Amino acid sequence: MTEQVADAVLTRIQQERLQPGDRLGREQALAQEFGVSRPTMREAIRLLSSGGLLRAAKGPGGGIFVERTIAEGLSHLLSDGLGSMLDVDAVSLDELMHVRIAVEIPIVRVAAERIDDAQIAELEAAIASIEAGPHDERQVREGDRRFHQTIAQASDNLMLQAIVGWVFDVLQPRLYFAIPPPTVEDVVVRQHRAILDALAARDVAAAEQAMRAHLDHLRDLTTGAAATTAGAS
Amino acid sequence: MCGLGPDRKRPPSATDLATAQLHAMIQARQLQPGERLGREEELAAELGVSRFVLREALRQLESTRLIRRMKGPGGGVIVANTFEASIGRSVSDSVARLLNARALTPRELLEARVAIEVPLTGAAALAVDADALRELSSSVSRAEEALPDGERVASCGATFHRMIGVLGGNRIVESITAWMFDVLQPELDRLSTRIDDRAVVDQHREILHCIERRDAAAAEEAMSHHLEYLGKLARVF
Repeated sequence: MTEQVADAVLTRIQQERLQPGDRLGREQALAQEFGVSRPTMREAIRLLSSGGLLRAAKGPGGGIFVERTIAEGLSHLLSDGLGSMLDVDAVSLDELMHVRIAVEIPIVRVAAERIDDAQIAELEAAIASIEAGPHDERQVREGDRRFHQTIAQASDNLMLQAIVGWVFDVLQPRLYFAIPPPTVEDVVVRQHRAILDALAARDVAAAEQAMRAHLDHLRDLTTGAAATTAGAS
Repeated sequence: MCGLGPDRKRPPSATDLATAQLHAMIQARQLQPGERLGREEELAAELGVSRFVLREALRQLESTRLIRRMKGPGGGVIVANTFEASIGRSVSDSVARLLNARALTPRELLEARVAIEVPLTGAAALAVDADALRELSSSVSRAEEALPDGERVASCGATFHRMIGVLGGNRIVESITAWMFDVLQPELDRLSTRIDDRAVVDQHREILHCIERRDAAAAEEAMSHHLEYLGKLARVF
């Protein structure tokens, strides 16, 4: 029953194209609207909240709100799960780099077939932001995130976007921690530019090759950093 | 919860902290699925949290399929899945819900599957060893022997595909692609007017032969052909 109500609530969010921050209503009103008891509605909301899709706010003006888009909700599940594993050392950075390669290569291939000119311009801007900020770590990170996220969006596939979101929530922050940015910036900018050139030419094979070179490079740095840490301790 | 990482905006709540402690406990004791974490009152005391906070944390872990709670004597909190399997299951739960609500379409899911699984098959051909080959081969033979029992053929088929995920990727790749076999494949079967199990088994055998020859390009081609066939039967492609 709870499952069915959760499905119905989700269907409504989908049909009405509700966005993060939009208010669904109060628990009681929702229970009435969907013709179920309040405890059933509460369970359904809890189910969707644990998936990161909804959020309950108390007080006046409170109620049930959309917390994330569908792709973000799914992506959040993966980020939470993989983040927890990393926190307790149940998975290594190297394993996660391998997973990243297994999802980002397919994504860049699909993106090369579908990317539009506005997205190409967005990639240009992301690289400019990395180039402009060699001493501003924040700006470099933000540019990096924008670059990879734009490629995911260019795949025009919600599942592919959802399956790669954890890279920037979970993996990338630890990589920045493990690898000091100044040592890699020039190379990384060159690699990003090679990916962009291949995407702008809509060249699938070249895009794959450029992305692979970039991720292999990051993976080598990660392994090197892990070895150094292990050697030091 | 990854509430302790440097990347979080909100400060972790007491429940988040308790959840993180429970994760750490499962990892430190190397608990396997089916093993017992303890009883609620013991756990609350051990973590130094109230029963209320513990219950919220357990509810959270239960919804992500990491633990389950059993009542009665000998009950308590039991590990339900490995970390990676629990991620796979909770993603599958969510994908199933999104498919129901038409927030994700079968076409979108199959397209994502093709994009990811085809290169995995190529990687599997390069990574395969004698043991893995034996296992892959035995799953195809079991499917063949199971004919015409469609359900058993399907279950052997899922095993075959999952093994490719482990071989071409790793245990995490296998778990984050579990939705392909937990959710998408049953949906494709449902959408298909007829399912030719013999053809599916033959296609799996062809993929296996390519992997046996360590021919990555041919393995990718064979997987791509197989997925296209499944998509056409279900009228998704």
